[in-house]
Amino acid sequence: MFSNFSFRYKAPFSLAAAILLTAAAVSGWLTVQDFQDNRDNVREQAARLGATLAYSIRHTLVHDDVWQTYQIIRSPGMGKSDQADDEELLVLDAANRIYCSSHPRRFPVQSALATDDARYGHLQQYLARSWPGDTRFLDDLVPGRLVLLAPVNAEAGSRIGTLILSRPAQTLTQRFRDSAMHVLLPTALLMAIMLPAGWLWGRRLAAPIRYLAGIVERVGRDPAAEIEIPQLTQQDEVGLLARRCGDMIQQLRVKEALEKQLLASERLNAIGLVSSGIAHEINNPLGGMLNAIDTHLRFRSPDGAAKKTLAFLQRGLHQIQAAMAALLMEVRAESHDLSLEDLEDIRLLVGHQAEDKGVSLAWRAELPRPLSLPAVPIRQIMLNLLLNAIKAAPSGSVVNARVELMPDGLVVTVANHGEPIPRDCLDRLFGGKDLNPEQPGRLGLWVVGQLTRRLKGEISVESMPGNTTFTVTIPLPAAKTGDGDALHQPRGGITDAGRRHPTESDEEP
Amino acid sequence: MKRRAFLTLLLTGAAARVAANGRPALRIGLTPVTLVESPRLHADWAAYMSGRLHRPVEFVVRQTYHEVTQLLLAEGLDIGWICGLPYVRNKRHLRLLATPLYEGKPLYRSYLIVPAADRKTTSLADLKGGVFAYVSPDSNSGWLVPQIELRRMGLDAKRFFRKTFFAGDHRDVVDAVASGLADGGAMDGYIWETLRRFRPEAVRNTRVVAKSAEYGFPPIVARASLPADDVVAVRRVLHEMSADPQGMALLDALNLTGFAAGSPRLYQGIEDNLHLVIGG
Repeated sequence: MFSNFSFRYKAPFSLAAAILLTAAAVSGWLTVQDFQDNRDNVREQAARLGATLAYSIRHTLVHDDVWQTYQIIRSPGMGKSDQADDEELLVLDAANRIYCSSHPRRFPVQSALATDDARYGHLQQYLARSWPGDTRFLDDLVPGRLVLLAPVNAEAGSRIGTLILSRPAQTLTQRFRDSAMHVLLPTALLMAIMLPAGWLWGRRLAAPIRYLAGIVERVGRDPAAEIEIPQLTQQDEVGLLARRCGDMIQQLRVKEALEKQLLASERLNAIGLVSSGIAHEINNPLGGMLNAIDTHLRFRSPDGAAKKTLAFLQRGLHQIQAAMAALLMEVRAESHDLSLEDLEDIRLLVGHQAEDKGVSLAWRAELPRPLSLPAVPIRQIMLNLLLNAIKAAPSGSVVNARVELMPDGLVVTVANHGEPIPRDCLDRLFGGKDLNPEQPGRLGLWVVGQLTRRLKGEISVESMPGNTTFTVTIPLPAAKTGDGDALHQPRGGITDAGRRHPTESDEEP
Repeated sequence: MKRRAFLTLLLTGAAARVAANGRPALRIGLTPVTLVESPRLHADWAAYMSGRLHRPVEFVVRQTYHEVTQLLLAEGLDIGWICGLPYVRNKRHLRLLATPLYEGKPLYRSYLIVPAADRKTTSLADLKGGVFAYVSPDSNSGWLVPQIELRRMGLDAKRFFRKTFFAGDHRDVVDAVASGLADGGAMDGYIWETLRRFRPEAVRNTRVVAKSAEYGFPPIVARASLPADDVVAVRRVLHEMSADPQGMALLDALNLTGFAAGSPRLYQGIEDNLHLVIGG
C-alpha cells in the first residue's frame, strides 16, 4: 500500500517517520536509563541512610534512650507531616516491636508493627519468619512502598533492633514522570522544528524524481520532439537517471525522425509508382513523336524554317521527357552538353508565360562555348525557377534571368519583384530530400533542389520585400573521365545513346 | 579522668577570659530551666551584667542539670541557674543567690501536658499504660512532681506507664508530646507559658491537663567558694534589673518580672517530695 504512494508524499513522510522513530527511540532510551539511574540512586541513598542511621542509633538502643533515637531518625524533612505517603523510618526492638518511629501516631512506641497499619502485616510476618538479618530491599511486601531493612547490631554483633526505611514507590514513579517530562518536552520542541524541516527536505529530495517521472510519463504518449530533455546537473544516481533519460529521449527523437522520413519515402515511392505509370503512358507516344521528328529530319531533309521548327519541337519533347524523368527523380532521358541554344529554348518557352502575365523578362545569357554539363537537368532547373518567378512576379514587373560562367561554375540567377517568401518557409523551400506532401505547390522548387543536389551544386535564395533572388551554382566537371558525379558521369541503365542514366542507387545518402 | 580533663579545659578557657582590670570572667551556667536556645538574649544579658559588674560575664549553656550542677561543685562555674531539685540535693555545697520572680512570685508549677488531639485525658490517672515523657531525673517539675502525684494516688510509677523516657529538656517534652511519641509529659509550667507567649506554634499541638501545686522557682545559685563580694554584687545587679529599662527589657525577654533574694524555705516542698520518693 505504502509502496504505491507518490514520492511526493513517500519521501517526506519517510523522513518525518524516521525522525519521529529516532526521537521516540532516543527519548525512550534516555527515559528508561534515567529511570534506572534514579532507581539506583534512590536505593543507594536509602542504603547509605539506613546504614548511617543503624549505626547512629545503636548506642541509643543500648541505653534505651527513646528520645535520642527519635531525635536521630526525625532528621529534617522526616516526620514533618503525618501523611501516609511520607518517608517512614521505624526502629524495632529485638522483639520486633516499635521502639520509636518518625511517625509516632501511626506507629506508637512498643506497639506491634502492623497494629494500626495493616500495610505492614506481610513485613511483620517476614521479619518474624524469613528475614536472615541482613540489609536488603523489599519491593513487594508493603503495598506501594519500597522498604529497606537494616539490622541494628550492638558492638558484640548481636542484633538489638531493626531499622526500617519505607519510601513510597510513587517517588520512583514520580521521578520517572519527571524524567520523562524532562526528556519529552525538549524532544517535542525539537520535533516541532525537525518535522516540518524533515518534511520539506523530503519534498526537496523527491523533487528531481517527480520531475523525472513527469518527463518519463510523457514518453510514449507525446512526440519525443515535444518532450523536455531532463536538465539535472547533479552527479548522484538521480542525475545518472536523468542523463540516461535524456539519452533515451534523444534516441526516440532520432527514431521518430527516421520513422517520419521512412513514411515520407514510402509516400514518395507511391507517388513514384504512379508517376512511373504516367511517365510510361507519356513516354511511349513521346518516343513515337521523337522518332517521327527524327525520321523526318533525317530522311525528308526539311527546309530551314521547318527544320528549325522540328528541332524546336524535338527539344521541347526532350524537355517533357526530362521533366518526367525529374519527376521520377531519375534522368532517364538522354542528355547532352549545355549550349546557348538550350538557354534560348528556355527563354522561348517561358516567354509566352511572361507575356500572358504581363511581366517583362530581362534576359542575359553568356555562354561562349558548350559546357560539359548535362543540358536537360539545367534546362529543367532554369525552367522551374523562371516559371516560379513569373508566377510570383506582379503584373508589369520585370523578372531578371542571368546565366554566367564563373570560375567556380555555371551560375544561374533568377529574380522577381513579387511578395517575399516567409522566413519560416525559406529553410524548407527545397525540402531536402523529402518532398513535403503538405506543400504540393512547391514541387517545382523541390525538383530544382533535387536536381541541383545531384549536380553537386548549391542553391541559395534571398528574399526581401520587392526582391526575391534564386541563385544556383553548378560546378564544372574537373575531367571527363574518372569518378565524376552521377550526372556528369552517368551510371545505371544503358540508353540507346550509350549513356548511363542515374538510378536510385546513385542517390546521395 | 575525662571529666577532670574537661573541667580543666573549661577552667583554662575561663582564665583566658580576663578583664582589663585583671578580674577573671564570671561564668554563669544555664540549664533547661530557661530557653537555652537564645544566644542573642544570653549575649545581651551577659553584656548587661558585665557592664554593671565591671568584669566579663560569660554564660555557659549545658544540656542537663547534672552537668551544670557538677560544674558548680567542681568550681568550673561561678553561678548557675538550676532546678530546685538539684539545689536541694546539693544545698550544702551551693549558695542561694537569687530566685526569679514569675508573675511577681518566686513560684512556679509543674504542667501535665498531652497531645492537643487528646481530648479524653483529664488527669494523670488517664494516662495509665501510655508512654510518658519526663524532663530529667534532676527536674522537679519534669520528674519529681508526677512521681509524687502517682504516689499520692497510690500508684507505682515504675509500672503505671507502658514506657517512659527522659527528653532532657522541657522544650523537648513539648515536642515529644506534640509529635505523639509520648502520650503525656510533665514539665515546667513557666517554660510552657513562655513558649506560648513567644513561640505559640511550639505548644499549639499540646494541651495542659493539670497544673501542680506551686513550688519554689528554679533558683540562681553560686558555688560555695564564690567570694561574698561577688555574691553581693551579682545579687544587687539582678535585683536592680527590674528598676532599669534595659534590665526590664531583659526580664521581659526572659518572661520574668524580677529577681528576689530567695530563701531556702521556698524549696522545702521539693525537699519534702524528694524525701518521700527516696524514702518510699
